[in-house]
Amino acid sequence: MLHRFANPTRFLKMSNAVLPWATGLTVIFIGSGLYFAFGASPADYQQGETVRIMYVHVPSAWMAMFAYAFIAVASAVGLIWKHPVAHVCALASAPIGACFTLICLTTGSLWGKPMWGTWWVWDARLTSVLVLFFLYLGFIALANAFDDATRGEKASAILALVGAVNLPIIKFSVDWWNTLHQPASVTKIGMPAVHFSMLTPLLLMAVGFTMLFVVLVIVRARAVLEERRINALRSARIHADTAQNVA
Amino acid sequence: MTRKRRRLTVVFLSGLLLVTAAALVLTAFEDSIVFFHTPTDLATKKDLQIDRRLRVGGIVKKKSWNKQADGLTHAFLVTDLTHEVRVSYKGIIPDLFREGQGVVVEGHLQPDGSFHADEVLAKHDENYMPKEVADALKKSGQWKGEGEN
Amino acid sequence: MGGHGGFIWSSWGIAFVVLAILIGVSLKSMRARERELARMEAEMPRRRRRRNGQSKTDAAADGSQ
Repeated sequence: MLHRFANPTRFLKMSNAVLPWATGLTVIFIGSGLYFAFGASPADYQQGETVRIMYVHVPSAWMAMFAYAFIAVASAVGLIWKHPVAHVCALASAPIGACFTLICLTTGSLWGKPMWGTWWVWDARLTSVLVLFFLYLGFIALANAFDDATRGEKASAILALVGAVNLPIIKFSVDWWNTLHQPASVTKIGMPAVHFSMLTPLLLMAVGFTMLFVVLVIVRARAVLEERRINALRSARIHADTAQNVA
Repeated sequence: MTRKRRRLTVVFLSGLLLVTAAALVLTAFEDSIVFFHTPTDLATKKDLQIDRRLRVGGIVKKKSWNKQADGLTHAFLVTDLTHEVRVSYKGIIPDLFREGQGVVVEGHLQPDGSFHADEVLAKHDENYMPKEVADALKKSGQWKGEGEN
Repeated sequence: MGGHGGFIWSSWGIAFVVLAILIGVSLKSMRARERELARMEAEMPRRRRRRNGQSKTDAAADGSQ
């Protein structure tokens, strides 16, 4: 099954088919998510209107972790089975994940100031998400640090796998240690901790962001594959020229 | 096929090793990873009682919040339902500060066992609902969250 | 917005700006490379490449026109 995606040409063909659908779904879900986030959802009984920051903060946080998990899996597939497209997908996702992490951190700060009374604290949840942001930056820097793309892929893939240990730490930090950040709401077992009227915009935005992630991974992966092809064509031309000169 | 197997094993074993190492480190540093201590920690852990800056978290005990006329000087009890500590604070408190609601205070433990805070942070729980639903839950006696006001 | 409008709007504003830049940069770099590829393919005098399985370059040519 995995082999079907390994071939860059097949990947491009498939991405052509998926791209318009993913784009349409992104617009629909983010559009309706915005409608519910600002129009059709109530104020919170304690936080008032400020709860509307949740509808961008929480989906970004989920995407920040999802994108990293995706990179880690793609890196493992790339390292073990040597599928070239896997590394390209990991490389394409890293800036997207970094952007969602940045959004998560800044909106969290803007939410923390009015509610908690502080922009930032060094509690386990906030610190581990900041570490995630640096892991993204490290991954991007390492992937581009080598002249030889294959070596960069390998080094950054190893970093991605090592950094994956941070994901359960982020997720369970609020359960394992005392933190200022509150525990998980949506995945809480038992009575739903988020009322239906507030869960609607939250989940719509989450699906919208996931679709946006798919669109951006495809667009960025195509750019990487095209760049490699350009480089290959260039060096082939240089080879051809030198061969001609020698002859 | 064998090389693929070998790479798979190497990745898997390194992962296992890494997770073990991370778990050990996190357990060893547990005391510095916790963001705050509970009033029970203050009462039982000797090393917390020396003059040192620390954070205490718990729930603002109901009917314990005493606000001076200047609107800036506050006194209240922080409880974890086992032990409680008297906190004094001068400054602006966050919007979400309420009796019956979570709070984290930062400052110094005084010789008389009270706590002098120079920073107060509100800690909110994981429940989100419209006011009408919260009121209805309280009315029907199914309320499980914090904060009664 | 309950007195905290500034925090709410700047949260969404920052999210919008960051995502808009990301989308813009991603699309721009893809289009630029598609144009470059189309140009290189057009310049190629010898047809050493397989015509089949090069949907990528066909798509690139379409995209630039």
